Amino acid sequence: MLKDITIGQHFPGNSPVHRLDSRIKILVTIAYVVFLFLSSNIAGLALNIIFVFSLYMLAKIPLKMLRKSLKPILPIIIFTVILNLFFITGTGTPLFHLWKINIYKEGVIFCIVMVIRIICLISGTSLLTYTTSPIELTDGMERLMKPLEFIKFPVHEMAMMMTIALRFIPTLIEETDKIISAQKSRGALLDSGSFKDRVKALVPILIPLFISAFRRADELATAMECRCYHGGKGRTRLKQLKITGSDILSTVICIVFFTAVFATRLVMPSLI
Amino acid sequence: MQEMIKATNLYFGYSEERENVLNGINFYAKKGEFIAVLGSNGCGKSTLAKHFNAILVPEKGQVKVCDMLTTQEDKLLDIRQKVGMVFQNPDNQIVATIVEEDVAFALENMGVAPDEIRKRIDEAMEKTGVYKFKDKAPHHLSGGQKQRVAIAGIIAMRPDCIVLDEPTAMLDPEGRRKVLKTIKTLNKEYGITVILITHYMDEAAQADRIVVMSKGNVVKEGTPKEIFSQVEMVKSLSLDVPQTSEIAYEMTKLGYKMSTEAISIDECAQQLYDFLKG
Repeated sequence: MLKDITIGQHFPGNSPVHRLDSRIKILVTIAYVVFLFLSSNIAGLALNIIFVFSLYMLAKIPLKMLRKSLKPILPIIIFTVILNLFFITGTGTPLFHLWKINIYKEGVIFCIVMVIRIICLISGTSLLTYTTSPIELTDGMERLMKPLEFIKFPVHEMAMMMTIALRFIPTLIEETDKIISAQKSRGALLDSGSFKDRVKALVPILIPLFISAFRRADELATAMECRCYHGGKGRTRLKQLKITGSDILSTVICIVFFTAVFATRLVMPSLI
Repeated sequence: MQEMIKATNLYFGYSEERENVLNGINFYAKKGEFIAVLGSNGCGKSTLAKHFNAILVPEKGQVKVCDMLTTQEDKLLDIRQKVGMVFQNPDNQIVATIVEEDVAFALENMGVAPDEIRKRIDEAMEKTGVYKFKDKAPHHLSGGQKQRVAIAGIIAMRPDCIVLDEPTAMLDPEGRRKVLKTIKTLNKEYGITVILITHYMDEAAQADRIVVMSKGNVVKEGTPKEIFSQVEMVKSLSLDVPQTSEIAYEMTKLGYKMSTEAISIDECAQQLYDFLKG
C-alpha cells in the first residue's frame, strides 16, 4: 500500500525532456507554476493542459504514473470543489437551490478552473522528478543556489542531504511496510478503533523505524567516509552540466509558451 | 613481498568502562594476498577492519598502510583510497539513486576529472559485472547485485586492498556465489589484496591464509588446510569447519583414516570414492 507513493520517483529515459539541463528544468517548472496561476481563461488553461501533456508524451512517461501521483491528492481536490461550490456567491440566480444551499454559475466555473490548476500543478511538478534523476536535481539546485554561499549558506550540505533523503525514501517505505507487518503479526490493531487508538497504534511503528533510520545513517556515514567523502571542497561531478544548443532551443519554446499563456490574459476575459 | 597493511600491538576500546575490543593484536597483509578473517560475534573483527582505513584510530600501537601511519591526518584520503571497505548491508552503503552515479561517488569526492571518472566507473562496473544495471535505481536490484554495485564503487577508486566485512551475510546463495566470484576475480586477475571477514567456512576455505580471532586477538593463523584440519580447535572457538572437513573428521572418529586436509569438494569426494572402492 505504501509502495503507491510516487513522489520523488525517477523514471530513467533518454527523451529530450530527460536530457534537458536540470537547472533549466527547475526554472521552467517554477515559471510554469507561476503562469499556471496566471491563466484564468479557457485558452490559457487549454494551453497549460496541452503543454504538460505533450511533455508527458515526449518524455514517454506512462499516463498510469500520472494517475498514481494524482490519487493521493484526490481528497484535496474534492475538498476544494465542495468548499468553493457552496461558498462562492454569484450575482445571478442560483443554478441549484436547496434550503440554505445555493450553487451559482460562478462557483461551478471557479471549481472547474481550480481542479484543472491543481491537476496541472501536480502533473507538471511530478514531471520534473520523473524525468530528472535526484542527483541531477540536487546538482541543479546546488548550482542555482551557489550565490547563497556568499551569505555562508551551506549549499553543498543541503544538496547532499536532499540526495540522501531521496535515495532512502523507497528503502524506508519498504522498511515501514515490514514493521507494519511485524507489528500486525504480533497482534497490533492498526486499522480499527477510535482515532485516538489509531494514532496510539502508530507509536510502535515509528519507534522501530526511527531507530533503524539512525542505524542506517550511522552506517551510511561510515561508508561515505570510506569513499573519501570530506564535504564539498574539491569535489568534481560525473555529469557536468553544460548548456547546449538544444537546451537553448527548449528554453525558447518554453518562453514562447509562457508568453502565449500570458497573452491570452490580454485578449480573453478572465473566467473568474 | 611488500606489506600492504601492518598492525602492531594494537589496542582499542569503544568506551572507558567497557573492556577493550582489541587487545594488542598483530596483523599483516601482504600485497596480493587473499586473507579470510574468522571469529565469533564480538571478537573484534569489524573493529579491526575499521582500523585499516583510518575510520578508527588505535588507542595504543599502530597501523601502517603502505608505510603510512593511519594517525597521520594529512594522509587520510590517501589511505582511504588505498584501502576500500565494503560492509554487510548493501542498502546502507549506496549513496546515489542511480547505479553509475553511486559508483562515481568516491571519484567525485577525490576530485577526479569527469572524463576520467567515466572511464574508471565503466571499467569498475565491467569488472564486477554490474555494467548492465548502470542506469537502474539501486532499490530495483537484488541484494547480490546491490553488493556488487557497492564493490564497484570501491574498485573505481583503484584501491590496492579491499576489506569486506561480511559482504554475503544478507544475500541468498545465488547472490553469495556471484559476490564471492567477483571478489576472487579481483584478487586473482587484478592483484588486489583482499581481506574477507566472514562466517561462511566455504568462503574462508578459498583464501590463501586464514586468521582466526577471539577476544580481540589472533589465536590461530595458517592456510585453510592447516586451520580446518584442527577441527576440535575451530569448534572450541564456536566456529564451524567446512562440510568436507566435518566429514573427514567424523570418518576418522569412526576409525577410518581420512585426511582432514582435503577441504575441496573434489579432494573429499576422491577420498570417499577410494574408501568405497577399496
